[in-house]
Amino acid sequence: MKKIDLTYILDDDNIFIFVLMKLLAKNENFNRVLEFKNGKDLLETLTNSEGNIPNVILLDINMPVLDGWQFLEKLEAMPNKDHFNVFIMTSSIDANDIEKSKLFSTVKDFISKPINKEKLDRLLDYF
Amino acid sequence: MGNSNYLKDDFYQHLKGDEELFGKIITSNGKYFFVWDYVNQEHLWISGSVLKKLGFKSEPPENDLTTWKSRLKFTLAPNDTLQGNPSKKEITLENSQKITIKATANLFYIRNQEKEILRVLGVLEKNWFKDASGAKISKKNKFEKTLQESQNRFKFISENISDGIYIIENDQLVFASKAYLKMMDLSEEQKQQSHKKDMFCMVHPDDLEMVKGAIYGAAENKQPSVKYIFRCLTGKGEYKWREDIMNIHYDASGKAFRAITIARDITQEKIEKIESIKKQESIDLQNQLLIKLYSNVMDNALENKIKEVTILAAKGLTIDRASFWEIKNEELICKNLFDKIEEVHSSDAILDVRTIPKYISALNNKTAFTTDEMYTDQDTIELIDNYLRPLGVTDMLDVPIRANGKFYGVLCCEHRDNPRVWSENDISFARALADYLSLALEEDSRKQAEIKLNENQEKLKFIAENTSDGILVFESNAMTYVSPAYSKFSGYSEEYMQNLSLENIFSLVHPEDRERLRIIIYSNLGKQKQNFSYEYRFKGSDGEYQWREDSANVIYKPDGMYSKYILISRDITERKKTERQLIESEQQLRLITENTSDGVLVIENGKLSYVSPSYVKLLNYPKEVYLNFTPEDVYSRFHPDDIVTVQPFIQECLARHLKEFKYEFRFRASDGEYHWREDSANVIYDENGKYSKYIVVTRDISARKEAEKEKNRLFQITEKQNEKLINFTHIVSHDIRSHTSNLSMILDLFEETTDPQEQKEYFSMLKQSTDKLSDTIFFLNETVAIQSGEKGKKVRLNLKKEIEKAILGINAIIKTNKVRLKINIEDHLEIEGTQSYLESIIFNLLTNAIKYKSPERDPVIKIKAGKIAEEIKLSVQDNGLGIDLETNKDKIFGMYKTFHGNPDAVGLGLFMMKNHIESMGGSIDVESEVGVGTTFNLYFI
Repeated sequence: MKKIDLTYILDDDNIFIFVLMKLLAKNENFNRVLEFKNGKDLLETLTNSEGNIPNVILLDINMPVLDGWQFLEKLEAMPNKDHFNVFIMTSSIDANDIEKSKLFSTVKDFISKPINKEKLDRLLDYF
Repeated sequence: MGNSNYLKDDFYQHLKGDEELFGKIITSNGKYFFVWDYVNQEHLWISGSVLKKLGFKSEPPENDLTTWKSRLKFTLAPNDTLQGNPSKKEITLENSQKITIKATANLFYIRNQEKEILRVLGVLEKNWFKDASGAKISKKNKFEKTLQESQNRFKFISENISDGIYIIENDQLVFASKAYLKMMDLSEEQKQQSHKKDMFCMVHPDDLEMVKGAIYGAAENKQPSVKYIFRCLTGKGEYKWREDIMNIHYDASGKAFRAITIARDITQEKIEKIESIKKQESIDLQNQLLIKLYSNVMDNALENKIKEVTILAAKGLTIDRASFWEIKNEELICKNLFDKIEEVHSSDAILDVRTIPKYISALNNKTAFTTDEMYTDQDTIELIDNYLRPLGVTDMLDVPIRANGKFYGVLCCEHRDNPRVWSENDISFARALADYLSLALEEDSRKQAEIKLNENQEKLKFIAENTSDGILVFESNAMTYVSPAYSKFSGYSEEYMQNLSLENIFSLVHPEDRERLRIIIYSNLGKQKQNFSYEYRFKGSDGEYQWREDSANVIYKPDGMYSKYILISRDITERKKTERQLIESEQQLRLITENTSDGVLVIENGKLSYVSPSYVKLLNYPKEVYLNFTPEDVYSRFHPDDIVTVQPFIQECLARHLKEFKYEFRFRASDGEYHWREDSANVIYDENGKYSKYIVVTRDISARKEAEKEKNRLFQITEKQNEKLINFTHIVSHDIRSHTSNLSMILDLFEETTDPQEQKEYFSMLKQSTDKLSDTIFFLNETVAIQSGEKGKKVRLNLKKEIEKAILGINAIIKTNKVRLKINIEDHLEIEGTQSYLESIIFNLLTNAIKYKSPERDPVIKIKAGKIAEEIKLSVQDNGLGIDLETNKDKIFGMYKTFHGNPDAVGLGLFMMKNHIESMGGSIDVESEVGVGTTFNLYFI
């Protein structure tokens, strides 16, 4: 299992971010973790990152300004989109959402909340 | 004997008839020879060249042959004669210095008819004279060299000419040139074997008798050479055509002992010749057949002619099957198929033209259709499975037949089993047959027409004599014929009629019709019309008037006067009666149409010709206005939304010649209001397919349409509510799940740790999370309450007063944000609604406008309201941040939607606002531009 050097979280729920940070810290396979409250900020960071590309993006769907889908559309339009590994983390269990997520090549998996140790381990299996 | 040398004379005489011997002398040593008289052995003649070589300056006297003999010591053993020809013999010669010289001679024997030896010819071997004179050695070498060269040249020629050379001696092959071996495909080994073989076994059995006859015949007659042509078996086992010229050598006894044969391969020429003979034969046959065909009497029935053509095609083209097919009603029907092997005609096959379009069009475009690749050719591919393959057809020659200017059928010539190449002649022949068929067909149709014409004439006569139609013929103003029928119905005898003048006849016409009739007849005659007809009443001998319809057929002279006026007169009294009945029934119909509540409209020749009173009443246009309407005027009164569908529909129905169809549309009445109508159209078309009468029964269906509209509205509401419900369930599940999942995650972490500090942290998170959950549940509860209309008690509310009340409630915020308010609302404008909802809506609108103000300018909020038709429109316009509607249009009024990332935005304001207004029966929409501002429009009932 490889260690994940850089992880970005995109979610507007403070409580969830707090809890997720705790879980990631306890897992010990996630080195650096940065949180973003809205997609616009994250897109700006990604555009100006100059090679500093996160290994993992953990993405919520229901968010203000840019929701998860709109964020994915913009991400897929980026020239270096093949470098991104997006994992959707949402409280949605709607089959339509799961189907929709498969249309994006950057999305590696769709993980329903709540998140626990096992789900994080499964995420790591992608690397 | 005198002075002559008889040996010399005899010898030269003999050589003239013995080419072989002559050749031998020439090819072996030329001029060095002697002739010895075998009968008188003391006589010998030596060629001058030998004497010269021996050094003698002069020859002995011609007749002193004994002296000649003394110069050549020569004896012959008695058994020598029996040996091979030539046979070698050692001889001695004496030169001028009396020195004896040894030499070798080849002896040839010249015999008489009884095979007795008469003379012996000795040809000295080359180089015999090496030591003959002891001088001129260099010259001798030069000769040798020349000889060698000429021999090489001979060898070279014999090996390189294409003609093969072989020599048979005593029935054995002794020599065969390389060219011969090559020609016959024989290896050296095979050549050795063929030495022993009977040469005749190589001759084709069919040619054997002829070859044997030629060779033996020639030998019998002592012919020096014979030429014959035959087929010869090669080493490869094939036969080749050869032309051999055989030179036969006879011995003294006249027995043929040698044959030198020059063989030439004429296979190619022969094949070409055979082909050309065959071709000529087939042309001759074809021509013969054609001549026979055309010389036949054309009176033959068409059926027999077709039969004859198929037989001739099969014979002339040497094929198994020939057939004639006719194209009729999309079918290719086999009218006659001749099978040469069975010698039968049949005619049952039918092919559907639509399944073989490529073949048909290929045929139609050509004068003759042939193909070598019929199993791959695009034009014949359609025929393979159900025609070509089952019949084993390998080649076809199809010729289209055109008769009377159209594509009539096809003559099919089919070759089976092995491939066949059609020659130009074959194609010409087939085309000639097709031409004949075309002629026959045209002839036939002409004949049919003649028969029909004859029948028609007879029929005409029959009709004239037997029908109720009377016939009158006028020539130069006088009646020349009265048919029995005419006199029968009129009651006037033929004689009586014939004596009537034109004026007399006019006097029998009903007075009301007389002048009209006169005008019709004379104006038509003036225009030189050939056909015209008219109706009138004619008085019979019983004094009763009969309705008659006369059809005139007029033939004019060059000066414009009529020469013949043929009148067919028909009794139409019954029809007139029916017409009257029709008028009566039309009147009846009119009575009904005038009295029914449905409107009736008739359009004739593009103009409104009839409008029923109820139609007039229906839309309130005066009848005169209607009758001046063009179809365009009618269409222009259709509702714009309906004209785009109804007009194309009517045009399509008319184009398809539908007799009855229905359509619904809104029609503008004279007062400008639209009425829903349903038209049932009934259309009558003329012979050109143009509508001549368009009858419409129209019905006012406004009430029904209203009901439909109401039903649709209710349906839409239900649909919207369903949508909302789904949305709502989705939100509930999502929102509640997001909080509960947070709760479960925190509890997981809480359980895992024993650190009190960390546990405290988790505990505070748990509290936050449960607070959010109860908030969510509260809002959801509110939403359900609004939607189910629990709190809503509708009262009349003054809009201006309500708005002012709301502004008062948020005065503090307005002041701190330096908001300028511009209110433009009529004082007495009232709406029906729930007070608390309206309050909440206005509160939300204003606080939103302030909350999302632009940082670049102070907020300006314009509020205006007014009545538009049945609705009251309230607009609240700000100059704030604006919302990007491109991306957010669908979710702007959704639950938990925020657009600016404001930390205190919860995404419920617009959602609640929409719920409030809709629960009061109104609606809301939004216009916005990022950086300019947002306008919310609310519509109250």
